[in-house]
Amino acid sequence: MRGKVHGVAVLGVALVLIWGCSEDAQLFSDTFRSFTSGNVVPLTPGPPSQLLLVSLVNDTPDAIEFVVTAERQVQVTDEEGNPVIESTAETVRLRTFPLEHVNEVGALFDCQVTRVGLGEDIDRPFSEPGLFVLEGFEDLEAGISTGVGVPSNLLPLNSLAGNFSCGDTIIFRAIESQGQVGNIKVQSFVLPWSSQPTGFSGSHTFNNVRIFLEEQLFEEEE
Amino acid sequence: MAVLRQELQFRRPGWCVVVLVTAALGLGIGAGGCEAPPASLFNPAFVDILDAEGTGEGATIDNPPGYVPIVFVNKTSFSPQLINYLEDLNAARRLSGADPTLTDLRSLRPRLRLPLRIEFENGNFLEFEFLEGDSVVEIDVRDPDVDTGITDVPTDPRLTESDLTRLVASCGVSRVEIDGDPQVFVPVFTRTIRVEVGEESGEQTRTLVSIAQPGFTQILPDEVDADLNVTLLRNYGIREAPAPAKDLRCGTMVGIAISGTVSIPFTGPEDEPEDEFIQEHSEVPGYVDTDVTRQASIPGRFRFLVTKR
Repeated sequence: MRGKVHGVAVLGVALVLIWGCSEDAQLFSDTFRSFTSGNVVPLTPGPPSQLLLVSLVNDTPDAIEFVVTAERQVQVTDEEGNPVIESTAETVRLRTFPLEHVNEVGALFDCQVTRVGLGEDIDRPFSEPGLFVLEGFEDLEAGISTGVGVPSNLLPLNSLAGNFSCGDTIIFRAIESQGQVGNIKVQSFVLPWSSQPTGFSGSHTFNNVRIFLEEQLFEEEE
Repeated sequence: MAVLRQELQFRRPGWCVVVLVTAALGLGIGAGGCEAPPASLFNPAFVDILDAEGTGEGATIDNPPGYVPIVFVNKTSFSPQLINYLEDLNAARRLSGADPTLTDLRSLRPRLRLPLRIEFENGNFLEFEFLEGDSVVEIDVRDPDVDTGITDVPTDPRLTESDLTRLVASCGVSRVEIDGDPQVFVPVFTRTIRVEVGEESGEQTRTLVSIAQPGFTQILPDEVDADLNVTLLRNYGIREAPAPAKDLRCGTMVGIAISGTVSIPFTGPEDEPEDEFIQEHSEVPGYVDTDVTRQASIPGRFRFLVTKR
């Protein structure tokens, strides 16, 4: 009898957990359910969205501004009408702070990105600042990153070399590391879209982003 | 019987404690919700390190719970009158022999600043600014040899700052709102003219009061009275004010779009302007100082869209 009561109690708790993690339950947050079971919301954009997510994680005790550059190669026509490959770069600066939720931010790039790295010149990762350790949490003068510039010491990731592909999530993470410049070391990670489930109980986040962008473009053309 | 009774007394608190602890643990984890065990313990997804330097440390990090992307679309355009004015400046530059700054001014996009605030469920917040559009300034398209009478033209660093139109926050967002007044860059010098009528002659004379330099200008709501009737038309209706996006579940995306036309009133120039270009034109960007309506219309008329999916 005691064993049956014990078992029923444990089963009840398990059922609460399972039901709470189910799609229609409101008992548990999406955040928790995504952690425990996955398949709630996408962690990678996936090829249909034609987006590449670059996420920046600050696991240091300092406020950090990441400088991310995505490079594309586009084919243009020169003055003589010959096809020429040109590189264009898109750079964004994103600030993170050593507090929960605000220590991670990301940027979305349209696909056909060939290389991604930290710093405005990703061909100089060992000398060009890839991030800035900000001086305090005060507002900074627009367009100028004050604080200590730290090179990423990471070669840029290259899609042509198979480092990543359209639809993946790239993560750059700053951690404390004694002996490094600024006592910061940067790591890089890739979450391939191909490793992710295709169905989700929650929103198709990045597909919705693409749909919104296309709708606005369509309305603009009308 | 004595032995059996002793066993019951010993065991009863034990399994009760187990049940209670298990139930409390389960309900506590679930109801508390957000602070879960390490993702790698449960989530079938995984993260691999890609060490571009080839050292292959093999480290992994926990999966994030999900993302909340916030994207901005700039759908504004310049008024035809403003474009024509810039084209005239550029044409004069070309005629003088100087290289034209731009060949296609008609495709110029106004540069917008959109300050945003993301609030999280734990009370932390993130403030940032979307920035997008072209950074053309009147002096860029003018003939450099023309005497404008303007000597000090400070540049705004936000003209050269990198564009930002997409930001991805981690889950736990409670609210996304436009934080303050959006701004648009007015690329031309705007003159304030005073018109005086001679008491005896009755002739009008136009004198230059001031020149506003190119710069970011706030986009403001219409002014209304207590009954919400519009008393001064500015840049958008108060009923069209952008509302914050709230109740954002993990995986929701927030889309913000601003549409409309950047326009500056034009007026006749001052009498005997120093600017050689102005001398040749019947109308220039500006307004008469008593014309409050035209002044309030700067920098144009706009509409906002804030949506979540």
